[in-house]
Amino acid sequence: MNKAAGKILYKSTINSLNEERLNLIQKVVDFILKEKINLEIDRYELYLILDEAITNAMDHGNRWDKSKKVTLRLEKDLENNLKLYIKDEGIGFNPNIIPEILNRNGKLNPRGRGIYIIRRFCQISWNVTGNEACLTLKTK
Amino acid sequence: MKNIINYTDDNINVIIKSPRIEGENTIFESLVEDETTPKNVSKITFDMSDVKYVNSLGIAEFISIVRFFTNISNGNTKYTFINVDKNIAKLFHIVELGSLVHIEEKDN
Repeated sequence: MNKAAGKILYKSTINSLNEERLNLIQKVVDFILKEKINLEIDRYELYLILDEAITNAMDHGNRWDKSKKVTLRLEKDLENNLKLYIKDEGIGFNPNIIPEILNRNGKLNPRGRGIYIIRRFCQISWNVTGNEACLTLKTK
Repeated sequence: MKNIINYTDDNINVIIKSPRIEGENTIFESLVEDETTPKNVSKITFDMSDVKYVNSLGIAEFISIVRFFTNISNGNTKYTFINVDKNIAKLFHIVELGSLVHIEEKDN
């Protein structure tokens, strides 16, 4: 994962609890608005991808174990893109085996949409272990 | 607030009262796990007037409902989402839920 540049703009660590998830999403959205960081995606899309990334960390990573933490930090890279890092305390995963939204029979899989949604609005990559996602959000 | 479910002939109308659908599975439980809900129906309508936000877990809930009723009816059940917020409608199309169900956007 490229950790180039990066002055940390915002950092927060929370437990894997639904209330803390909602609180953190709103705080990050508010921070980006307050700092007047002008993203290519709109506010709804920002909220959605934050939700999907944090929910993935709590659900697939920490299995909703409330003692396990999720750490989020925001940085800007050399090209002025916003980098959003989300780390969980899970064992990680192999990003190459993310399920497709259609299964082998051509039917919609109920799960596996979070990352698919994120990829529609920004770039996502992971560290080697697979327990830290990096979302790259382009600025205008 | 509890969702409102009405049955008329072989149709089910679901008025979703929760503003956020994030995988709590309350709609799934009302429709699938409640034994009093008819299962072999020709149409299910979801009124999304009060719904402001859906995430991927909420979409998974809808897909599970669609799969359940489609299996029972051998694909003869139709699904309509009415009064859908435009952002949610866009999301439904992104994840290809729009290929399974009819979506009517809310007049803004």
